[in-house]
Amino acid sequence: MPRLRKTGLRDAEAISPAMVTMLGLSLAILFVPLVIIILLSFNTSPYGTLPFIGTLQWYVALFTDSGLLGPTWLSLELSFLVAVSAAVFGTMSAVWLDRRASRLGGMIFRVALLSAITVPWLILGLAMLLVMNAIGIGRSLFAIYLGLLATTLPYVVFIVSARLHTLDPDLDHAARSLGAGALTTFLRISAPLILPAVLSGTLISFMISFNNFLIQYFLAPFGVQTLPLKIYTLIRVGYLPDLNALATLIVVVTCIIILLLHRLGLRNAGLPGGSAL
Amino acid sequence: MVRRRVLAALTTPVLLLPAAAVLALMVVIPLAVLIWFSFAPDGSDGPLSLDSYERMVETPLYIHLALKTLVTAGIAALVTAALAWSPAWVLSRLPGRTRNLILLAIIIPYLTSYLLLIYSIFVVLGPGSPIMALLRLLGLAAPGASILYTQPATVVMLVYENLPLTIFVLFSGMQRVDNSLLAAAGSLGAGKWRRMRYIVFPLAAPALVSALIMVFVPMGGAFVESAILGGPHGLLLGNVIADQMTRADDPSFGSALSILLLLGTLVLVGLVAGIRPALQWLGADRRARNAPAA
Repeated sequence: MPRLRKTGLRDAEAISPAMVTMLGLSLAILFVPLVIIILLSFNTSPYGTLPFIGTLQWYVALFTDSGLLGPTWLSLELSFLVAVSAAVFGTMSAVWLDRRASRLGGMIFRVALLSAITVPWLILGLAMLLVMNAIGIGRSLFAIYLGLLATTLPYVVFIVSARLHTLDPDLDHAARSLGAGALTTFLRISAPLILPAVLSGTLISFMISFNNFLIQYFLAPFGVQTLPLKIYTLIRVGYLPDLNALATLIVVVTCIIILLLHRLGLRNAGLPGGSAL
Repeated sequence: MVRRRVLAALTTPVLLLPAAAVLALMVVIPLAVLIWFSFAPDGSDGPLSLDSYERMVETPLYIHLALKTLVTAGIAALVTAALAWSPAWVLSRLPGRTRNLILLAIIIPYLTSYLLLIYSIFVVLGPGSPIMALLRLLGLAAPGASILYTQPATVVMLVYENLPLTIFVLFSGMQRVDNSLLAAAGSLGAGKWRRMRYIVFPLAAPALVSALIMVFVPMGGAFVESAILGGPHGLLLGNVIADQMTRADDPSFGSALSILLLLGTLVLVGLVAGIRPALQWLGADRRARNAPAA
């Protein structure tokens, strides 16, 4: 038998040095600003000027006398509440969508979910403000909670439904035929299988509500500042060494969350193009 | 048995109620109210009229602003896609471990608060920053020069914050391009450029279209970028809408402008999504005409 000739092109032959340079350039664009902020957070000069003299004083300042900790805690608490609620409610409706939804009902629900993430948040936030004012809730923490919940629910529902969709229905049938009720079947069979997807959805909801400036901006009561709102008011002042320190910590936490997402083995669901996760 | 049936009947409302209530209250009703308000210039009790739309159409400033916003978002989306194309292709051909490492790294700026990203761009582009110092040292920038507070600064920011997403979407489309197709074209004499143009581009076109749409829509609703980096002449429609709704306290006019922005975005998205089928139709047409001659 003649040896099969390799007909494929090796990967390396499909890329040119110019393209690799473009990859390097993109990575530089993405990371140089972050790296500069991280380096400057260890620099003594309060104006970000050279020479570079190492110090930890800005981290000390961050935790002792900066106004950044309060807003950070508020953002953390709010995002935690939103993420947990989004995970619970989102998983419930994903189960409904997968198992119980009528064709029409499912379609209407999906359209509502899609509008929550495709209408620019600027317009959605302002429209939410109109309704909140009309029904008397007004600008309040509860309004922010509801607004963030509405913008994070779609992510949980889409991630969890994708996972539910891949489950083998025979597993359920087997459990049911052995006498387990619907609830027991869900808790003992489906729930453990979709748990990684639910956790990914929770983490992503947390990141999204932590970072969603526009919804917070339009629904925050006067005088209440979440971290993005605080940064928004401070940014016009210019260079802020303690904000550099906080940004460094946030990037570190972001890295940890990304590694967690990676460990959860999320593929082809969640983040758009998230086949990498 | 009855109990079981009651439980089954209750499942749907119990599972669906919280999520549906939140979506109704914070998405469906607000968007409906937005449309309603745009027709109610005298507040919710007044009669419906087209006054807000008339005022919008009669003032060239607003149409001009809408066009400027859509053009800015369009340019930013195209620049992002152009910049992301080669990296996405290289990533789709890299061996697994290296690729995953780079992709995980690119998620960092994607999941970082964009206010922090804006702040970092602010520091990087500011006149006192190390980068500007380096450029001055090389004689590439005038002392004290900076593109902060100009329209290009807004575009730079929009490109920066949307680059990761664009790379992901293009990457997942390009991953499916089979090397044997490239090898076949190569063995028939096609160079790198022709293979890119006639094999990779058509196969990755759907991913390109979704990437363009996914970044263009939020770019059209840009607000913070232009407010902080754009300077006095860099304001976009989003800033004016926010102003009308909050400070000027004219929700009807603000709603009408929001509808204008939504419709403008929708038309452009429709055009982008329609280009490929149209081209395919034209291409098929041409091939059909050429076929008898060949």
